[in-house]
Amino acid sequence: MNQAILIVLLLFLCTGVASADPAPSSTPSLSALSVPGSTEQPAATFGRDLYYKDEGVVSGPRAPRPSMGDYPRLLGESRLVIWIVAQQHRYWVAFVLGTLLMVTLLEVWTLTRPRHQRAIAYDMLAREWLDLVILAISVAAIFGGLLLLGFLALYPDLTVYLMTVFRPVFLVFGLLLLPFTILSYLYSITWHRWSGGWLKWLHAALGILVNVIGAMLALLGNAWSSFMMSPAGVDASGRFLGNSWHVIHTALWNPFNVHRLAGQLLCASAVLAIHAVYRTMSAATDEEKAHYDWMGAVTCGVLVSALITMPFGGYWLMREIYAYRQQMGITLLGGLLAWLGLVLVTAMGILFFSINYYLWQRIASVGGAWSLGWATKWVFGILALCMVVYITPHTMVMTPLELKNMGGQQHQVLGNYGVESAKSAAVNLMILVTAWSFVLWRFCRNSVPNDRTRRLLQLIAVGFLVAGTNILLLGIYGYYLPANVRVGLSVPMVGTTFTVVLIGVALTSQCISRGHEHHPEWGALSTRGSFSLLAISFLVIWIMGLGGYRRSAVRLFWHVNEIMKDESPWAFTHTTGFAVNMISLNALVFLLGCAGMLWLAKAGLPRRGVTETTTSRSEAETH
Amino acid sequence: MRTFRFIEGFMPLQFLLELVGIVLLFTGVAALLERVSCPINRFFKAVLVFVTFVLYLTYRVYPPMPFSILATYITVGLLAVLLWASSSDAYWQEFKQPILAVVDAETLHTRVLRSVLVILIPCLAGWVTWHSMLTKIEEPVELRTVIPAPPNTFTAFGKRFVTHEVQNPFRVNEHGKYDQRFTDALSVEEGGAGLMKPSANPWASNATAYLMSVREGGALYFQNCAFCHGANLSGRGHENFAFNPYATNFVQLRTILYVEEGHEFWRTAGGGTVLPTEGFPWASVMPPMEEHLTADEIWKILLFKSWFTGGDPAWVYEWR
Repeated sequence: MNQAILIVLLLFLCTGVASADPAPSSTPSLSALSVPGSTEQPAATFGRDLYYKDEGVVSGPRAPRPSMGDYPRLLGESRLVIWIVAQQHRYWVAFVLGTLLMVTLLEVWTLTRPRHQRAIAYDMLAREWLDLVILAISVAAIFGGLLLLGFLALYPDLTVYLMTVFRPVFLVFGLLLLPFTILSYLYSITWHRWSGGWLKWLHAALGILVNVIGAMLALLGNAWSSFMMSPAGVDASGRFLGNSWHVIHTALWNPFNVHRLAGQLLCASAVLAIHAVYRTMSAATDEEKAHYDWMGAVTCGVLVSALITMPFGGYWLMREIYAYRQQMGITLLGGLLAWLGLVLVTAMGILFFSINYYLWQRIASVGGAWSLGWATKWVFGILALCMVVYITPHTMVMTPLELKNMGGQQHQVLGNYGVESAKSAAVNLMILVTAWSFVLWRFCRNSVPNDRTRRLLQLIAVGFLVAGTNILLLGIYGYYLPANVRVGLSVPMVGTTFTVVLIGVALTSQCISRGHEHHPEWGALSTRGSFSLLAISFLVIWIMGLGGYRRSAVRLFWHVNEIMKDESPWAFTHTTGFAVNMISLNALVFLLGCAGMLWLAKAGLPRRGVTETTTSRSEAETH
Repeated sequence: MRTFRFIEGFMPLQFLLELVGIVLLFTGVAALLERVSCPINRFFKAVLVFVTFVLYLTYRVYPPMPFSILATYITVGLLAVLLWASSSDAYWQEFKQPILAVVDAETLHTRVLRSVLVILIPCLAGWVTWHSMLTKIEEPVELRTVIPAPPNTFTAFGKRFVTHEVQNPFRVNEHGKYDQRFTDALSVEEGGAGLMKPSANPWASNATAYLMSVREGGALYFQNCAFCHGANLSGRGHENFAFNPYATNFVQLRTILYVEEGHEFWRTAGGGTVLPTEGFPWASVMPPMEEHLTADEIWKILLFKSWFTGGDPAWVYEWR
């Protein structure tokens, strides 16, 4: 119902905008060229694309220039209302799309490996997650509708302008919403009905189709955000030049898409981890506890996999932002929003600590595996050193007296940590250490450690050691290179990390898939371990809010960068403290929503997942 | 602890290696004691490591680090130690044991210790509160925005410039065309020793037009800028120390990217008077040089700065 209202609203608006004639230009642009046409036809006006630099026929009005009085003041500071609603919408959409992707991947995986020990268990796990998605779709749609209404009510000029530019995009978006919703429900209700023979493949195909439509919706939604940051397809005065692909495919669209795809997986796995922890801690039986403990481990695995890509995705996004407008890059990394960047990397550092803590709690929960306990001090020691480097700012917060004592803006010893070369090495090493903890945990689950597995572990350890040394040396080498060459060092660093992590994890999985794995440890995780998983989830959700705010706030006083100014009374940038409070509020509101959703799921779907999974496991073991 | 000074050029790595050395030392001593059947409880190990870490940061690192950094590092250290101490149930039980023993106070020693702590801890809390409430006669901490982002467009010398499109008119090749690769090849090498290439000598008789502009820019720099920004562009001119913050150090260019030419021109022409409203209030005594120099002179000074430091903004454009 909610989706239907939203679709009708979107289509109505698009139709309305489409029927409106583009407003004639009041003053001709300097870049616009008049081409003499026939006497019957009005002369077409051409404009130069702001980004693509080619010419196109002017097909829309100029970007409006509203005055302060043109902004309705219905709910106090309108920006805060939009901020909250947009962030909630973003969270819920990320959860829906991320979970759907995980569900379909699991389903396809089980289909291609029907004889695998855990095939049926994974299939049922996917089914359980899908139930949550169906609940969340409605919430996402409600926030989507509220966001649209909020924009129309509070920022009418901007909304109408964007709808004019994005007219075809909105139409496609609205039309895609309907099949997405219907097919999602169909995907859910046919899970068991289409579980045999070729119907199962048909069901998986349906899942893939839902994901494709979901991805298209996400890409179109991202186009709006990236257009506001790096407009294209319009001329300098904001007039649409008739090429919708240019409007979508702006300078920052692709980095956004990649970054947000990983963000969706992160958000989904974070919420599912909360679900798992909640159900583990409230489990009535050992069987139930073991099931949700296992689910927590699976979600943590997905979370770590997605997280590993985030620093690189973020780096690419920043690089493209710099390349597009250095002014934006400076605002983010050295200017007004740099302190929030520092908060972001601090949260990232704590996140790596938490993940490693969780993994070592898992290792400790495996009987007889604590012979590896000696390694913990090195794991947390290396992480601490990396974090020290990662969070040291280029310019430190200090009193003038401290400045005088230091003798300059840069600290002689620690100032060098404030540059990209050191930070890039630090974050890569943190990823490497985390992957090593993961590999160790996987090995600990091997019930029959033999010479072969031990040799394999030694081989992987050597690989990690060589990779770590290489990253460290590259980080040091970066100080002896010009900046343009130095930035390029991130490629071999990332390459080293990815190669070793992928090979290490693949070798470990290969070893375990030979049938040595046992899983008696499920349910034995300490309470500290469960809480660390909760901390991981909260940090992920909080970091998402912070990253989103920085990306949006970098436009400063522009609605659409360099085209349409924000003339509202709220065009200023909030203080760091206020922004952090708002981000925390948004995270808390989302978590409250999640708590409601999980409560509903628990009340409405009592132990179905556990019963089915347990039955399936028994069947799998019997066969 | 500061008798052995940090080695110049090796400081950041030395700091990390020394910390690793401390952990190695403690590990070795603990293993040795365990071998002679005199193991140390995990609680005391954790306290020892943490206290050593704090002492190291406070007394070993020189110049002294600002409190904000010290507090951050100490928090990271504490976090790491606590996570290590609780990384398994066995570790956690061992770590808690002395604390619980004091709280339970079942022996004379622990009873005395508990009594002392009951008195000491509130006193310590009171002292910390009293100290933090003291009126201090010093300027407050500044959360300063270091690099002001330039506007998209700006006005200087009565003309409007688009920041990301402005180019230095003197950054030209032999044919008089704007060429960043050409000028980059003739800059001083950044990074290592900062050597001047034989082909990049502005005082050579056969110097190109670009190098001649560099030479003129150098002369103008020493007439107008060196008093604050220093003779070797390191921000240590003789007037510099009267200011807070200090003048910009152009040699310390270890930021992610170099700034665009339009950015430099905007900052130099307008000085501290044109800084953006975002991040206000600003603390800059940089004079608006457009009132003292011509546009060409500013461009030549910027060219000299770029040549001297090897900080060519060229590659920023290569991305586009």
